[in-house]
Amino acid sequence: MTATSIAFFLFGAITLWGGLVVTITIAIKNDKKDSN
Amino acid sequence: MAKKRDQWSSKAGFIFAAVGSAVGLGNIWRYPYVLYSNGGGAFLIPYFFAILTAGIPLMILEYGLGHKFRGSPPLAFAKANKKWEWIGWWPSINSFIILTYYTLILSWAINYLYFSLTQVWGTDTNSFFFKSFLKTTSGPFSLGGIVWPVFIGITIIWLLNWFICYKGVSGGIEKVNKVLLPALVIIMIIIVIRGITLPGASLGLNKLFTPDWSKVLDAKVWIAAYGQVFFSLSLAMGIMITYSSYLPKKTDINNTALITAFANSGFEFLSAIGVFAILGYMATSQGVGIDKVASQGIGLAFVAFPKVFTVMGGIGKLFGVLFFTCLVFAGLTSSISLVEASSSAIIDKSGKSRKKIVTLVCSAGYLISIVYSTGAGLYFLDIIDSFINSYGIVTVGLLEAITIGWLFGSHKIREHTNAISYYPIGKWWDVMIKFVTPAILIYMIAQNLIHDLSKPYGGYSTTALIIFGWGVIIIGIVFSIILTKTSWHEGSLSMESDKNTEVK
Repeated sequence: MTATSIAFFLFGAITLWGGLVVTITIAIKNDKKDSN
Repeated sequence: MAKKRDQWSSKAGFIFAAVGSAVGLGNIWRYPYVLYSNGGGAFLIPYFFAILTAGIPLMILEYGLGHKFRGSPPLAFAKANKKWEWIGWWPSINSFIILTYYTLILSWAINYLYFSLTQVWGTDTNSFFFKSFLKTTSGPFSLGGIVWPVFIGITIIWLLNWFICYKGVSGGIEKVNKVLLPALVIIMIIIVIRGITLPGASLGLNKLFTPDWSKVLDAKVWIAAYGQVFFSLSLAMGIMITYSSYLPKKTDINNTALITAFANSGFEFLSAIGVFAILGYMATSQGVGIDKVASQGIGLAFVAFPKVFTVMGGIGKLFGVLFFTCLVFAGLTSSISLVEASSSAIIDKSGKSRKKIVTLVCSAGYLISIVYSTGAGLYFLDIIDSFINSYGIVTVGLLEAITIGWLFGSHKIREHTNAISYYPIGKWWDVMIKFVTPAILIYMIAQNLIHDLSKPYGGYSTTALIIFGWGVIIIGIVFSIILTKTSWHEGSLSMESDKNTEVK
């Protein structure tokens, strides 16, 4: 793969998969707060 | 008295079901081509913009509406204002119509899952699909006979739909999604890992991600981005309103909408990598450019990919089984959400038991689906799907945004979701619902109208387009009005039903 296509793959992956990980982490933390 | 409303057993159960609904066939066979043909890597900019300005705001609106009023779309809209009930019926009817042909595609996928074992499609996959398998007739007015393998597939899918929804929200829909969705993701990861290690995969991925900046300023590309986000998230079909009505009272709706949107988009991004890695392999092995092998929809799944699996040799059989299992799992989780969106509306209105209504809806849907198992089924699917998407769903989305944004007051939904969520949304959300979303949807409807009036869709006759295309739109509106005229069962419109939900 070229450097440009790798850069755009990373742009998409970090935004989408990173966004998913962050939002799920927030949900788990808040659920723990609720249960305490 | 209002009955106690069904409820998810956990918030995770709701998220699995909502993501399962959103992740459908379009994520696997539509998004990869949309990304490739609309500027590659550069398309990600309008795509992310569409997610933030329309996808997530509309998702919050639907979650908020269903949760605040604790009802399927007709009940939710009727509780907001009795005059708006018909706006709630329309997406429920559209869901039922979509369901009747969605099961046809799932039937093909089940058949192809079986065919993958022997690769019976041979080398001319196009001829096999349209002639040998579907026995396609000359047009929509030439029915031909029933195609029995398709009929059997439709029967299996309807039985599964019926059984899962019959078992209830937590006992059926939630349990199935908790198994099928992780399985779907794991299978797709296996396809991607094997796909990117195939010779020529980098050619496909370079074509997919290399940006074409000239397209970023093209209005059509932005509309394609909004269209992809809108259809992919199962918006304006009544599904998300219905699913959120089963949530416990205290639920972080704002964050849940973000999770659903990111999970759905994250999955389609993953599938784009798998699809284009495989297409890169195909192009390399045939010595042609990616543009010669890239396709979408039915052509990709049932013509191009089987050809790739044949070229692959032995491992192609495994790829075929994995790919069509993906289609079946993704489609099944979406089809049960369509059954639920249709059934819950009638359950709410009539007060009859879930078991009776689900059986009624599935029986009626199955009988209609039999027509699609004829040699003309593909034509019906093509016309009805185009009109339902271009006009039915988009108009419902527009009506939702205008009704809630301007007439009901978007701030009321915002205040409701903020009161139960950890992170509040600001007034920017009102702007998206009142101005941005309606403007985009009006533009989409106008574009579709101009296009269809200047050139008949798919080259079909005007009679066929009026009967099967505009006909289903008119049926949706007429039935919405008729069903609005029927009376609600006692206590169903009472806001007291809110007290039946507890935090779990």
